[in-house]
Amino acid sequence: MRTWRWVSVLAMLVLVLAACGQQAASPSESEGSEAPADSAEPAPSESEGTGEPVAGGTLVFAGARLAASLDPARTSDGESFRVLQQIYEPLIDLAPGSSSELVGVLAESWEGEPEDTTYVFNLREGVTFHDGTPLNAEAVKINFDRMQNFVEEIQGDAYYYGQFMDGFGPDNLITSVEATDELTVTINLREPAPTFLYQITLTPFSIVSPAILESTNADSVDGTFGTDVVQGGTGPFVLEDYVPEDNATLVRNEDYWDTPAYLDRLIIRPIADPAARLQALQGESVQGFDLVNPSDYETVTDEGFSLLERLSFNTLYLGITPTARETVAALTTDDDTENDRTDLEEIYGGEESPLQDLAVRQAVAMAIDKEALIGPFYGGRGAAADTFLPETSAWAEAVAAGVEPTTFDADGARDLLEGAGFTDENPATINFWFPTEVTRPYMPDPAGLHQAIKQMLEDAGFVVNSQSDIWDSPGYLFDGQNGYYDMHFLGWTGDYDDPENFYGVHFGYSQGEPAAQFGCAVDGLDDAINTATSETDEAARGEAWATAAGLIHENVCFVTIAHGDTALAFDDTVQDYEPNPTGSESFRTVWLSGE
Amino acid sequence: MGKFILRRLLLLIPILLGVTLLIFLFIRLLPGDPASAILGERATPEATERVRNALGLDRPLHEQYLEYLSGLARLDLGSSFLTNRDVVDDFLQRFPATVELTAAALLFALTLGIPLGMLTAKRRGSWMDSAGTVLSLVGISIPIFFLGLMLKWLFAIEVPILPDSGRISLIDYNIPRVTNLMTVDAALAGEWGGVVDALRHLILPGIALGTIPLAIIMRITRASVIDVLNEDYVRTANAKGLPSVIVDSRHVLRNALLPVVTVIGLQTGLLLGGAILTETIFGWGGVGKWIYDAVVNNDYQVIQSGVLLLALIFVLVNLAVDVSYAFLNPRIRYS
Amino acid sequence: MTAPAVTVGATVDERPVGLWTDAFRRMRRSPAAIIGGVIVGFFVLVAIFAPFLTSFDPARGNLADSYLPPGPDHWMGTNIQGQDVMARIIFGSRLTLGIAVLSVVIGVSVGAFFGALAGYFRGWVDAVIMRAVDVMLSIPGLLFAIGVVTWLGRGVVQIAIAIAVLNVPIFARLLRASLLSLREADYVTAARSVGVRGPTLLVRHLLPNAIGPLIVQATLALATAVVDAAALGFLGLGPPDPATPEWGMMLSDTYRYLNNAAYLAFFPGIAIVLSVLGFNLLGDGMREALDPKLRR
Repeated sequence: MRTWRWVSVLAMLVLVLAACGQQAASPSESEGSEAPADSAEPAPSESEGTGEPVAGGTLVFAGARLAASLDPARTSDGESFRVLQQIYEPLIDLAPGSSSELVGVLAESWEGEPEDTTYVFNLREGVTFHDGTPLNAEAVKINFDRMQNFVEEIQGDAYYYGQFMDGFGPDNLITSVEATDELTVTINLREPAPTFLYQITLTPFSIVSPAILESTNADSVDGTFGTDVVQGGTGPFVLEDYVPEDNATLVRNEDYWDTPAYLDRLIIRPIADPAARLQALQGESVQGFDLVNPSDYETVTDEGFSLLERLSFNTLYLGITPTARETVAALTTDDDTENDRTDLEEIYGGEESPLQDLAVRQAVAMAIDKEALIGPFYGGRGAAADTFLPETSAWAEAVAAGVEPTTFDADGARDLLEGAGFTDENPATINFWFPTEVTRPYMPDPAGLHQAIKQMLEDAGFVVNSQSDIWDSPGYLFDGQNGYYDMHFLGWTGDYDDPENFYGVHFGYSQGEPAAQFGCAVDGLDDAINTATSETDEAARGEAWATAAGLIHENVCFVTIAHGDTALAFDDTVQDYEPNPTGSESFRTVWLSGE
Repeated sequence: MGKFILRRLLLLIPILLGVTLLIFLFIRLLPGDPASAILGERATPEATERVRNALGLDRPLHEQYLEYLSGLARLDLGSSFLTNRDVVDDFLQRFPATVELTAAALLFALTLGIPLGMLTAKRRGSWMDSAGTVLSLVGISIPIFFLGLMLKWLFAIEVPILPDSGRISLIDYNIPRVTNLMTVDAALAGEWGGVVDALRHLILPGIALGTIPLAIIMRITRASVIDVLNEDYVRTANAKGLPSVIVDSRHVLRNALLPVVTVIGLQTGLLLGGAILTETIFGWGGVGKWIYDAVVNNDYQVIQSGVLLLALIFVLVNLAVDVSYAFLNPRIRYS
Repeated sequence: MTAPAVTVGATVDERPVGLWTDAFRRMRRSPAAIIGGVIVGFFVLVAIFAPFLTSFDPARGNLADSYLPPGPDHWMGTNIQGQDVMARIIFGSRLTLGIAVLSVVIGVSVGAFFGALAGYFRGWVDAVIMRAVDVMLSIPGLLFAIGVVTWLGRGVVQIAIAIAVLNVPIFARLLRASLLSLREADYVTAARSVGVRGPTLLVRHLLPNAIGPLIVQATLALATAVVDAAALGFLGLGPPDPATPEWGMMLSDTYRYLNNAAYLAFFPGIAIVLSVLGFNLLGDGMREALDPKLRR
């Protein structure tokens, strides 16, 4: 019958195609290796196959998102760093796998102690940018000057520079950057900054080819450096192609100043959902991905993939911004220009924020059962967070001494609310934002965590309105960091091990004003933080930070919730990936063993 | 015939203008504002003003609209706020992916739908017919995203015989983009393994996207064939003793296909737009997801021009369908 | 002119009644219509009596009960929040069906209104309305709905409006076509010949006979409305409160459930497929029953 002939032909065609493509055996037949789960040192990678790295091959890797911008100075999140730090390099960096040891990258050596105000960097000779122009002191100066002189429109994106260097302009932390020699850079600071060297290891402080900066008009709002596919870095990979929301394609830099990468190409793809990332690995579309869903850890190892665990070096917190409603209102009262946020205005409805009352904030803290979240959302691999510092931090104990942990007490929270004048007829109403299209190391399931915490708050008598926005800048990240939200989730993966990178970055005052994200104006906090930041003696520093942290937690500027472990998963061909608790990881050392 | 086509093409213009106006007004009502979208930071009044000026957003609505239209006349469809690339470039880069997907879906729907429709029409009333009807109704009832996820789970993960996402295995093949049609580009590059791989990647999304059109085409074919089978000239042909094979192809098929062709036209339009869900599930870099992202990110130009382009294609496809009517049945006259 | 009109009206009014009784009888014999009717009826009952069908609050979960497999306490298991899945399916019917019904009612009313205008007045009114309909039909449906929801905000009513907008052009076209073909029908000519004019003609003669195809299409529109509502929920544009049980939103978690608890992915999907199938079967059965060609 003609019809059946059609159908059977089609079916055969499909089967033939399906069989045709079957290449390697499914991964479940391979050796399957597990990374050691101890916490004493970062998990070393496992190379089951031949011990010698071989060059060649393409690695397709899935992250949660691609870069928010191709301009490193204007990025602030780990996914952007993942892509950009393969291409661009800073003067110095953290040693692989370490959160405290420094090594020279573009700078061969340097001079400067925590108490100094002058740092000298001796650049490596013979390094060229991907566009062929040479790396020299002048190029470094141009990069630092560029960030210092960012126009207002761009400053908001340059989160890290603003936070670390105390704002922008000639009066910030950096008094001058000089090219004292062809390959010597001298940076003078306004005052001693003990963590300065750590700060400039971050991706936003990478050195970009001045020629590229110029040709893309990178200093202007209309500049195209953030979107153009250009070759302006010094790193082991060169950017070959970039399709937003689809992929970033990098190829090996043959002229790299150090041992070149082994991979021929590295393709990074964004897959927002962690379960979908695992499915991509199972389906062989990718050979590795980051941020495995804790509940999938078992599945990963059962199916013969490698699970590389990272020490938890992150914290999830609930950001509370009592001044949010005022901030948003202030945006709108400006004349006729429409930089207003009517969308947020409508949500707030002109009402005063109940969070301005300390008792209400304390009620929020007491209403949350942190322990209950660890099981479902972190797969049991995590811990409730009493302070901002992860347990693996060398400073954890010292700081904890100054902070009194909150105990979970829903009834107590209710009492506090009543005391503040809120009843069932007149409840405290807050708007609670969570981000979509993202997973972060501290936040494996934003929507789920949001729902769970919202229910806890409602049990304590709050009325909570759910709000969400896409994780991006602009979007959730921008609005949250600029303090437009009543209450929001965010978290932090430490960039290096020092309380300043946690408390300092988030609560440091900027030219007299408390950090926009929390609007946390507490008497004496500015001084406490400044004292702690500049303290160079270790013991004294610990105490000073304990004091500052104490002030912050007492006033419930935010509520720290959990520390989470994170992990990557790879198939058995990928070797020598070196995880770092800070997430700052390079693909340079990665190679693919034979099929 | 020529006059007919000309008239329809002229009608295109007011329709497309209507589309631009509708979309234009529509997206101006969307919350958020591209100026603050680009600015980021403590968007100071001066800064926002400057950006809005640069983007032309401060001018009265009708001026902005005329500006857009004049751009269209110059074939300039604007550029994406977020990527700074020409909308046309971005569209052309992604459109072939959607075309490939749509083609696969239509192929699936047609090669199964028409024969099955004919079969059930001829065996009308039998168990085969009832089974076919039920199946087709079930086919219409399954949401694409559910079907896609189930297919993916079943055939890419549980029983891994087909790829789970993407258009080609990036691990194994590095195909230079020429036409952006993966199968074609792989062939051009001489990578025959790549052609096979690209085809394999088309199977699951094609089935997912094509199931509903399959069901619809099957039903329409069935209804249409039934109608034609009852027509006088068919009965006459049968009565004359023409073998049913010949009656099938020449008479029944050609006339039965008329409504089917209409449906194909409609479906193509639906497929082009409805590929959003399929593209999302299977990580397919086509225009559906692109426009969806633009809506969410308030990327005005992309939304406006992207939707306009899709509407244009939809209308053109319908025109082609109407024209093909004439070839299928010379009895149809156009005034 | 009243006396003769009443007489004629009496005669003419017999037709619609005749049509309906006949159709009903035939539907009762059609297995498709019966099954469809049963399924739809089932879901409607579930939606109405939801609170009595389960003791669990679909929006409350106990984190300690996260991911329990189906068992005596939770027949369909629990999700990650510890919420009872069956309760969420049951209450989800209210939301999903409610949105579907609301959107079809709005779509039909608005669409039929404009379609009637176009079909009755013809001329430039007709031309303008039909061009507008063409424009709306040229824009990919789902995108349009996404745009509307993004504009109006997320909420049950807003979603219903977004889906209704998709239906308006379809019903406008339908009603216009019905009116145009009916104008030429014998009994209309007869009515006219005795002087029935204008609004009376429209309301008492044309509309009742146009309603048949309208109801069929409305039933089928309900089916697509359920799918569209689920699609919006799936894309993250459903009701803003994540605790709300809505089948599409529940389905968007499918990715994660496939790895850990596959059954969780099926239940909402099957609910959607069944309810949509029910509407389609019913609509299909009705169409066959009302098909004038088959009546002869």
